[in-house]
Amino acid sequence: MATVIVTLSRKTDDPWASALSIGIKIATFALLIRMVIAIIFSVPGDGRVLFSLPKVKLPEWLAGIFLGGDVTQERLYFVFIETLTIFALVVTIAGASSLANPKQTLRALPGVLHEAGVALIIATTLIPHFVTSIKRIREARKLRGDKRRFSFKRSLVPLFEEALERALVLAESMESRGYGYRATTDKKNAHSVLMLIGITGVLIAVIQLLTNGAFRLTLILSIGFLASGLVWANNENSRTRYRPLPWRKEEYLVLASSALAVIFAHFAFNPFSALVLFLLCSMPFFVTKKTVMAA
Amino acid sequence: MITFDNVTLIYPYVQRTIFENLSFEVPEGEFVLVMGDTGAGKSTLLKLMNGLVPHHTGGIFSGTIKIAGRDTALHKPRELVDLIAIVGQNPALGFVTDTVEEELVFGMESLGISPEVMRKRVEDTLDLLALAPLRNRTLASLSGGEQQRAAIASVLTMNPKVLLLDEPTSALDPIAAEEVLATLSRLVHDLGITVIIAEHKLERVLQFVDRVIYVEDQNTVSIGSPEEILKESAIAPPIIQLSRALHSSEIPMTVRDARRTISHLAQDISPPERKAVAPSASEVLSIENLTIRYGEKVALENISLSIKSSEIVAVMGRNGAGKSTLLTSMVGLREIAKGSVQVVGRDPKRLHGAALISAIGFVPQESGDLLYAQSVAEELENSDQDNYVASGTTEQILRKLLPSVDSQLHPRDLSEGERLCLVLAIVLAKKPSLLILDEPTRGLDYQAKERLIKAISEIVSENTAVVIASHDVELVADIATRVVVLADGEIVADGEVSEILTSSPAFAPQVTKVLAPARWLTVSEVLQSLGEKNT
Repeated sequence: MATVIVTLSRKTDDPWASALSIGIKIATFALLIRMVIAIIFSVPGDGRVLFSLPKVKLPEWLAGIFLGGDVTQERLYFVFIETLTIFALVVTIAGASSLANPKQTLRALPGVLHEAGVALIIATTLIPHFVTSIKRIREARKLRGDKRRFSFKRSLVPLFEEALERALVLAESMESRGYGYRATTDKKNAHSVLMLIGITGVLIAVIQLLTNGAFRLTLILSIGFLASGLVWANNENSRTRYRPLPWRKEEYLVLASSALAVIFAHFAFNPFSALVLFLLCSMPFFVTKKTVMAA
Repeated sequence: MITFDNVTLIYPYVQRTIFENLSFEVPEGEFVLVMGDTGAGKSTLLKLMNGLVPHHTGGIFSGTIKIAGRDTALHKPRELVDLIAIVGQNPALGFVTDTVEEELVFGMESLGISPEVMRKRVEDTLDLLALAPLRNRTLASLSGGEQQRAAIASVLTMNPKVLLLDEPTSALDPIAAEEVLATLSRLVHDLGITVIIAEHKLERVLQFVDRVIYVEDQNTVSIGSPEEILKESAIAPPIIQLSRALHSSEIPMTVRDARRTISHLAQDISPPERKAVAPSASEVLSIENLTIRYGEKVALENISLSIKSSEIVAVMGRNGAGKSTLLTSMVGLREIAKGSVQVVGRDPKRLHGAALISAIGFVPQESGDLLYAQSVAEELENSDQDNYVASGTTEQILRKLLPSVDSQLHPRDLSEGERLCLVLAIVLAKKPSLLILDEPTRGLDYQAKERLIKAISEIVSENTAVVIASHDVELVADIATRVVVLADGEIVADGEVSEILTSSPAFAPQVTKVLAPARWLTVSEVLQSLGEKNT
């Protein structure tokens, strides 16, 4: 709820702003599917029976799965709460992405990760291009008197050809504008080795965790390696930034309110705490200013 | 500044060499034009200069190219950005960021220029290219000319010594093109930057340039002053053709030169009578009170237009004036808010399949959109099937337009002009009553344009009506019988071609400008009158 309020109040007219409504749609869809599955596949257990579906006898090798049968109130309630968690997660992520300009997020990234970030963001901007290409290709097929609804060769082949061509042009343009330019290249390997050790360490820690070993020390050590490698690489990176985003009072307040919310949720759970939690989660609504995007 | 020494380039799997033993030099601070037919290698020549060829494209390369002493074989394009910058054919495809200002700093951030210097350079460049009012606008919302200027600005911030541009004005209307070229000329004169551009529409650029590189084919590349090159070159803008037609020894580069030196030679001939379309001709297209909106924005406002068979109507106007919307509404691709469109008495929205293509043939701006087969032969076969015509019909039409084309080639490997011919052949196979062309001369050389003009005049003799949207005043002067001028979605002028073109300075072809106030339009008219006088 709080997510929706905060998001709606800070929404702009940018293309990515519609992510929230799409997110809510996806989440609702998931919720419905989950409920339908819960009704169709029954799990034997106690509880108040709401209604019964005819049981279908399944072959021997599907033992343990029951199609149809009694639908209990408890099971429905349990599934609903379980899915609600997923619902909340999806809506929160969608809300966050509908507020953040992906390219502005890029500016907050450390310089050494910037190039990988640019590649990722260009990949996301290809989707709107795809949509316009599809529309043009569909129109072109109509102009050639093609009545069929879909044809792999006539729709997808031109689409992929166009996407490839576009990618090549963009790559040329970026190359000839200094993307990937490095002033010094000799010490590049040292911090790469450091980061590689870090990543391997994290992997080992995960394996240790799964085999119930002591993973904390390995994890801390490897994160240390990774971080120092990143910092080192960052210091050597010659890339500079035009108008860095300042970290203001509002950012601290938002961060503090979310930290408080996490702590609160961890320790108490009753109707009163739910209300406090809701207020805390809505905090960004009070502490941030409505950003006015230049037209 | 730029030295080519014995440069040879061969692409793998291709029979012919692209360039062979090319040697020349471009001095600092010159405005250089690269001219040549489509497919002669103009774009490749530009990309050789900044190292995109062969670093990015591959190919077998020998010889040396030096940019201010730096060898392109030893430096990647990204290591040459402080010396040489390139702006591609379609700048919109090369934009990396969202807004004008971010685009300007993209290159500088990669180079590691300090924030203070960046701030200053951004302001300087915005002022230089008159982009200051647009600094926060998204790149997608800019007009064609503004996008071109933003693309130029985005490379200028890196302070290059050489600027390369590939057909910077081909998609622009005459006014926007003039603006871009004037900007480039200012860069040459004020900042001493060397500017090298490849361009087909010579009539637009010739007046600005100091030197011409003429790429005839792989073995003959000549370089010289515009006068030297254009004295004999096979391709020439109307102004040079006019001077040749009038047997003048002068080679005028600008309209002003031509008015002084050759206009008196045409004094004793008078423009021919132009015949109007026979009043008995039947109506092919009728549009009544058409209004089209995109969301809040009105794209077309209350348009009424009637076109009869055998008419060739040119639709002109600024980028974004509604030309494409008007054309696509004629095939029923747009939602109509008010009014009606009828083609041979039927609503195009209700026409599908064979009924649609026998009524209307439409060649979109990107003519390649209509092609999807893997070879020309397959494409022709598909077309015969789609059109329900005897097999071989489409090929027959294509051979008339383009006698020699390898039918095993992939349609994407054809040159721009060849591809247009192929699309035209497919569209004409069913003999539509109305032929619509959206910007057909984008990227076409003079030869391909001539072929197009011939094809269209043949179609018209079979009672087809033709509608062309174009920025190319010379093409319009050559073939159109009537001109409709759009501005902000409204028709501001509609009349006979000589009347419209001679009355507006923006749309007047070169011959008209030179020989004003007499109402001449094209060189062929002058030639015709001269012939009549002599016999």
